[in-house]
Amino acid sequence: MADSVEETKRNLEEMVNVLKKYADNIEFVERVGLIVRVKKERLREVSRFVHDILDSYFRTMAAVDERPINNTFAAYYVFGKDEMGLNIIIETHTDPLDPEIPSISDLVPAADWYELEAWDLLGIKFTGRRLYRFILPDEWPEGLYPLRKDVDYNLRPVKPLARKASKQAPAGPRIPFGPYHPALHEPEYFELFVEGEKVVDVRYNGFHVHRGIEKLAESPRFTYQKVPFLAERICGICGFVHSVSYTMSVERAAKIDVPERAEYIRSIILEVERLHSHLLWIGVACHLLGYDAGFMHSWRIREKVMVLSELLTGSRKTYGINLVGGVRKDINKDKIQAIMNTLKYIKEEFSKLVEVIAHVPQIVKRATGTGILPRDDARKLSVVGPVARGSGLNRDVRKDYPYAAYPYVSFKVPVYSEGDNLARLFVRIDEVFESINILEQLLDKIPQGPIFAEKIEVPEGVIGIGNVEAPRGEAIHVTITGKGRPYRWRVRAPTYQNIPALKIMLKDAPLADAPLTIASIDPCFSCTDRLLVIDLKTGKAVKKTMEEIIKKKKVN
Amino acid sequence: MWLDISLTIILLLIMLILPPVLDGIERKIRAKIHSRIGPPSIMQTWYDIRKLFAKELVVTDTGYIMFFIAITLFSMTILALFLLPTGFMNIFSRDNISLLLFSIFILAIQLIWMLLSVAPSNPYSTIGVFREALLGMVNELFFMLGLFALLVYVNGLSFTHLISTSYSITYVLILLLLASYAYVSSGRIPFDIAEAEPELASGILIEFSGPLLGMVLYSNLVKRAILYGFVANLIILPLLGELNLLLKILLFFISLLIIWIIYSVTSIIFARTRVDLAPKTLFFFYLLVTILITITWLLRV
Amino acid sequence: MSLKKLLKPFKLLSIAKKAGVVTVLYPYQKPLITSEFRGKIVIDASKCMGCGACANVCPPNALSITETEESVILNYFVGRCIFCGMCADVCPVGAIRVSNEFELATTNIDNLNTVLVHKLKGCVDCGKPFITSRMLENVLKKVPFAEKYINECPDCRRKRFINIVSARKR
Ligand code: SF4
Ligand code: SF4
Repeated sequence: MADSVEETKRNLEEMVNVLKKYADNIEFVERVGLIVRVKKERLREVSRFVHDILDSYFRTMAAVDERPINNTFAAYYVFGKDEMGLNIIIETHTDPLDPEIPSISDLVPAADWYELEAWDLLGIKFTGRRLYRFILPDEWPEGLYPLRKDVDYNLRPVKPLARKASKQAPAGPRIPFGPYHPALHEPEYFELFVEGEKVVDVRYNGFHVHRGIEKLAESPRFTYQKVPFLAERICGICGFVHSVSYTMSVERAAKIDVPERAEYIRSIILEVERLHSHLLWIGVACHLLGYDAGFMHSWRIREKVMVLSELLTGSRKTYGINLVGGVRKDINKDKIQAIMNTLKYIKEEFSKLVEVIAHVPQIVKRATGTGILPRDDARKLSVVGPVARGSGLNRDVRKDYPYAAYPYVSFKVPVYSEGDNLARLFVRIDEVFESINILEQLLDKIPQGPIFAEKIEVPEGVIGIGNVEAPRGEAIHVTITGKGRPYRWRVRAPTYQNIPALKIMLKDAPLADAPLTIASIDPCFSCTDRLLVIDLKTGKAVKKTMEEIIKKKKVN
Repeated sequence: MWLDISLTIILLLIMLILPPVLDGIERKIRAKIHSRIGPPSIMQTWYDIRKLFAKELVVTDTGYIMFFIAITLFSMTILALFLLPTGFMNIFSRDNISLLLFSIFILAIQLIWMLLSVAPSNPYSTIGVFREALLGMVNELFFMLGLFALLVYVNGLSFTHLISTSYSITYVLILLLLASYAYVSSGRIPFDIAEAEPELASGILIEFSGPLLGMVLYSNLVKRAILYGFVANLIILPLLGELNLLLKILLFFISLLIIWIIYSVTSIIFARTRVDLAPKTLFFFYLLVTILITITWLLRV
Repeated sequence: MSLKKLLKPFKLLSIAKKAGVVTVLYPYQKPLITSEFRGKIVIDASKCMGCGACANVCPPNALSITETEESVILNYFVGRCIFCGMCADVCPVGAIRVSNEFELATTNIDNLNTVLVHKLKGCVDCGKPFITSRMLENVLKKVPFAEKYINECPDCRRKRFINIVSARKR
C-alpha cells in the first residue's frame, strides 16, 4: 500500500514537471485534482499530452461565463487518469468580447459535443472545426446565448424564426426512428439511412426535452439545498445518481465531511437503484426482441426492488432523501432485514430467469455479433459504463475514483472484450449479482453515528467534481460555487458520452438490430438533454397555448 | 338437406364468433405465463374490436385503396371459411375440388395481406412488406409442395377424400409441414417480423386505425382460425369414421382449441427472429421435411 | 445435451407457475404502499401561524406565501408538490403532516389548492396590520419578555427606539 502511495506521488511529480512546460500555473487541490491553468494558445498541446501521452480519458468540459468575476469566459476540461484516480483539470480563459478557443475535437474526439454545446449556449467560438446549431432548437434567435449570465433564466424570446430547412442529407431511403417511436420510450430522433435493410448512415437529432436545469439551478429561485431535488429529476431511472453527484461536487468543493453512516446509506441506495435499473433494462431488451415473457418476469423481480426503495426512502423513485452534507432518512434493523430478504428473493429468481433468457435461441442469435463497438473506438470516444466494459475497457468509477462507502467493500468489475450487444447484456447481468454482493457487505459493515454533517458552509468561487457510477456509466457533475447557490453547475450524464458511439455500432448493421443496439447503451435521453432554458415549440398556435399555460400557472 | 343447411349456417356463425374468443383465451394464458392477471374476461378481444368500430374513420391519402383491399380481404376470408369442413362435410366442402379451392383462397388471402401493406406509402410498412415477401417466398413455396404431396397422398382434390385416408409416417410428415406453414403464416412470434412493433412501429399495420384496423385485425383472427381449423381437419378427419355427427363437430372444436393453445404457448416461449435468419432457418427445416416426405412416400411407409 | 439446451426456454413455465399471479386489480384492490410512503401533505390550520418557513424550503414552490394588506395567505398547490416532506421537517410548530394519500387526480383544478388565510393583527400605535395572532401567541410562549413590544409593528418599534435613544442623547 505504502509503495503505491509513494509511486503515485512520484508519478504525480513527474507529471507536474512535464506539465510545467506548458502551464502558467499548476495547483493540486485536495479532493478535486490537479488544476492546470494554461493560455488558450497552448491548450491543444496540453490536451494532446494529457490525452495521448498520459493516456487519460476525457471526462467532461464545463464552459463558464466568468465575466462578472474576472471578465473572461472560462473552460474547464476535465481529464481523468483512471489508474491514479486523478482528475486533471485544464483551465483556460478567453476574451469576453470575442470568445475564441482552439478546438481539440480532432485530438480528443469525445470533446466534440462539449464544444458544440458551449458554442450554442455560451457563444464560445471553437476555431478549427465546423460549428453548427446542436442543442438549441432551430427557431432560437441567433446570437442569444442562454447560459450567459446577462440572460435571464426565465427569458422567452418573442419572435421565433421560421424553421430552417433540414440539413444536407445522404441520398437513399430514410427511416425515421423517433421522435416518438415504440422502441425509444422517450422523445429522441435518429434518422437511419438504409439500403434495403442495411443501415448506411445515422444522424442523431436530440435534445428535444431540454429543460434548462443548469440555468435554473443558478437562478435566485434555488439554493444549495434545493438543487438536490432538482438534480434528482434529471433522470427518472437513475435520479439518485445525479443527486449524489451534485451533493458530492459541492461537498468536495467546500470540504464538508460527510458522516460515514450517511456515506453508507448513500451507497446502499445507489446500489438498490442500480438493481432496479439493470432489471428494467434487461426487461426492455427482452421486449425489444419480442420476448415479452422475459420482460414481464424481470419486471416482476424489479417490483420487489421498487417496494424496497419505497421502504428505505419513502418513495419508489426520486427518493428525495439526499442533501448537501448527508441524508435525511436513517435505516434501522427492520429495514436491514427487509433488504436482506429482498436480496435473497432477487438472487434466486434472477438466476433462474437469466438461465432461461440466455437460452432463448433468438435472443442469443440476435445479440451475438451485432452492434459491435471495437475497443479502439471505445477508447477514443472515452465511453463509460457497461458500454466501455463490454468493449474491453476496465472502467468503473466506483473503483477508479472511489466515493461514498465503496472504498470499504470489495467487488469485481465485469469486463467483456467482444464489444457486441451480448457482451453488454452479460456485463449488466453480472453487475446485478455484484450489486447484491456489494449490498450484503455494506449492510454488514454499516457503522453507527450521525447521518448529517454538523457544519455546512460553502465558500464562494471554488470548483468541485462529483462522480458516480450510474447504472449506465459515469455521471459527473462539476460545480463552481457561488453565493447561496451554484455559480455554475455542469451536469454530464453517461448517455451524453455514449451516444456518439452509436454511430459506429449502427453502421452497416441490419435495421432489425437497430432498436436493440440503441437500447444496448441503455440510453437515457432526459439525462442527456438537461440543458436548455426554454423549450420552444414550432408554430404560433402552440406558442399561444404555452403562454396560456404560463398565465394560468401565475394565477395559481 | 334442411338439417345440412341449418347446421352449416350455425357452424359458420360459430366460426365467425369464435376467433376473437380464442384470442381472448390466448391472452389469458399469456397473462398467466407472464404472472399477470391479464384482461378481465376472455371476451376482451371482442370488446377491443367493438371499440375500434366505434371510432371515427381516418382516411389517409391512400385510405380508399386500403379500404377496398381490406374489404376484399375480409370477403375472401369469409369465403374460405365456407369451404372449411368443421369436423363434417358441409355443403361446400363436399364439393369435389374443395381442398384445392380452399388452398387457392388461402394463398390469395396471403397475397392480399401483402397488397394491403403496399398500399400506404409509409417506410415502415414498405419494409414490413419486404419482410413478409421474403418470408412468404419460402413459406408459400413449401406450402404448395406440401399441398401437392397431400393431394397425391389422398388421391383427390376434395376434403371428402381425407376421410378415407389412413395415417402413416408420410401423412404425419405432411401434417408437420402444413402445421408449420399454418404457424408461420399466422404471423406469430418468432415470425411476426412484418409487424415487429419495436423495429417497425407495427410495420404493415401502421397506417390503419379505427374501423379499418378493427376489420383487418378481425380478418386476421378469422384467418388464424381457418389455418388452424385446416390443420385440425387434417388431424381428425382420417380418424373419425362412423362417429356421431355432433361428436365429430365437438371433436373438431376441441382440437382447434388445443392447436390454438399449443401455438400460443410456443409463441410466448420464444423471441422474435431476424429477417435474414428466418427464411434461412425455415428453408432448411422445410427442405428436410420435404425430403423425408419424398423418401417415406417412395418407400411406402 | 443440445436437446436439453433447446428445451431450456420451457423452464419459463415452471418459473411462472412458482411466481403465481403478482399483479393486483388496482382500483378494486388496495395497492401496496409501505409504511414509509410519502404522499400529499396536510396542513393543520389550527396550528399553522403563517411564518412561511415551509414556503422557503419548498424546492418546487408548491407552497407559497402571499402577503396582502390585512392577511397572510399560505397556498399549497399539490400539482407542483414533489412530496419531499422538507416542509414538514422545518415547520417550527409541527403543523404539517405528511400523509400517504396519492390518488389526487381531479377534474376540478380548485381541488388541487389548499388555501390558508391568516388575518393580521393591527399595531397598537399606528393600527397597521403586521402579525398573525397565532404567531404572536407563539412568540409570547417562547419569549415571555416580548410582551413589552410585540404589539407594535416593526416600524413603530424602530421609531420608538430612535425616540428613546435620541431622548437619552439629549
Ligand atoms: S412553516 Fe408551519 S407554521 Fe410556518 S407557515 Fe408553514 S405550516 Fe405554517
Ligand atoms: S412536500 Fe416538498 S414539495 Fe411538497 S409542499 Fe412540502 S416541501 Fe414543497
